[in-house]
Amino acid sequence: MTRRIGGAGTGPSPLSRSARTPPPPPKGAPANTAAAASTKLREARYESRFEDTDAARPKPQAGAGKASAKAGAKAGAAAPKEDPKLPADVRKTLDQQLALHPKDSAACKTLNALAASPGFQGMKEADQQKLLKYVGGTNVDLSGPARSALSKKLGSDTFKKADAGKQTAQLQKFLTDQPATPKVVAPQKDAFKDTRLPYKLHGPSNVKDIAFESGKADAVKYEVEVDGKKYPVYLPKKADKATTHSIDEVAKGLAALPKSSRALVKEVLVEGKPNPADAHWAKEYNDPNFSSYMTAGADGVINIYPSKPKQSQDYLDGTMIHETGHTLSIKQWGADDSDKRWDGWKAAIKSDGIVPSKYAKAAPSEDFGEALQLYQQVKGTPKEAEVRAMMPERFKIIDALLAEKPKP
Amino acid sequence: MSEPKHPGTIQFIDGATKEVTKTVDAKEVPASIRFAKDEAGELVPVVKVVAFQEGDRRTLREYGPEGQFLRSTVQLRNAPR
Ligand SMILES: [Zn+2]
Repeated sequence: MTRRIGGAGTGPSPLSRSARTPPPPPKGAPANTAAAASTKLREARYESRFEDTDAARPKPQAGAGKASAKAGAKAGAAAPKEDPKLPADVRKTLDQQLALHPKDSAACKTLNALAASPGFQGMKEADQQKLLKYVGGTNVDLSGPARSALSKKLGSDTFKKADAGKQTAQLQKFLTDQPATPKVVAPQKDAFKDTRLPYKLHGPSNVKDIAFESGKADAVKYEVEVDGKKYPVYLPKKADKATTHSIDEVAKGLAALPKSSRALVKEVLVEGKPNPADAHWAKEYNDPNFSSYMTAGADGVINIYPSKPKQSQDYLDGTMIHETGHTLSIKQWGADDSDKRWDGWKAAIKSDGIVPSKYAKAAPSEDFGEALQLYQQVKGTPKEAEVRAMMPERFKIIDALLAEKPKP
Repeated sequence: MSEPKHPGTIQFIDGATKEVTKTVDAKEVPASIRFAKDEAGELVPVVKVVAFQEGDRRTLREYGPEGQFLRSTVQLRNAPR
């Protein structure tokens, strides 16, 4: 199989050129391009837009014609009749997203099919941008599953047989519901391998009668030094290694936190036994199958409970970021997210549209915890730009928040 | 540490709907739930527990009488055995 620039996959096969398929655009008549190279690239992509996806083929229908004409006028008078009817900026985003997948022809196919659908062309430009940024990335958290779900949608009869207006409504619903978004922000394998700060361990020393949440017990105390500050960490004297995090794992967790969150940590208690409150919660929520994993208190104390099987380093890192994120956001904007100080974050959620996880929809404060975890997981990695493009307003607020000196 | 006086009841709230699902007598819950430390490390009564759940994760956020945040606990569904 030969690949085209931008990974757009193979060219149109003879089979794919059905009667309904529009012909390729006239050579040398692209809209909004000056450079010949760019022209070629676009033509290649244009052709691939129609390969083998029924959904990609604009069908002759009243609504589509109107939308096309309107968008065509926007794109410039010189636009060839069959050129996808997209505003120049949207097309630019499409090209950028296609370029992210030089080796993934399926991804390009989906993006091209989307762009060529009358339903997409009927969306508002801002929503076209959001949708492309959402389904066009290479990140496995959000864009990967979203693109698979969209691909299914585009290939479904409900979509293919719908007129332009109904297609637009379906895409709009897809963008609003984000059905493929994971339940919670998934820990990324080795997310902090390169970004975690170095740490130093001091100790251990034996200490008596430490007030663990799971009961008073003798403990070993370490001090984890990160970025010039020491954090006391207490571990049970006799820990079950199969269920209890080690001092190194906890130290790594501390070293992966955003600086502002770490500044709020007073100490960490690695509990040797389950949270005694679990039995009560089980009764309260009528479900015996939940166990406490971590508590972050307003006082800066983090309790980490045994887990079976023991959670991974990545999970520990992510959960610490999320949980201490609550302490951070509450310090900034108040404990109740109906507080006026939360308005900026709420406006950012609304403006971004894309959510970091389904769980994030539970409350603005949970959205913050999830967004902060995702932010920290991609910060300084090649994925940062594309995740930031999905949540630009939230990332801006987090940038500012983490740059600030934490409030005393 | 000596326990402060509890105002009497604890409200359980569903974070998704914001509805009060239950109001319980504070005497009916263990001390470890009845009280939690505030920012200054002082024990204060817990009067509100807000629960958020999504799939295998549940978060319980506990608040004091002035609406102050006290602690957030993440619970995970036990692995099937
Ligand atoms: Zn949370």
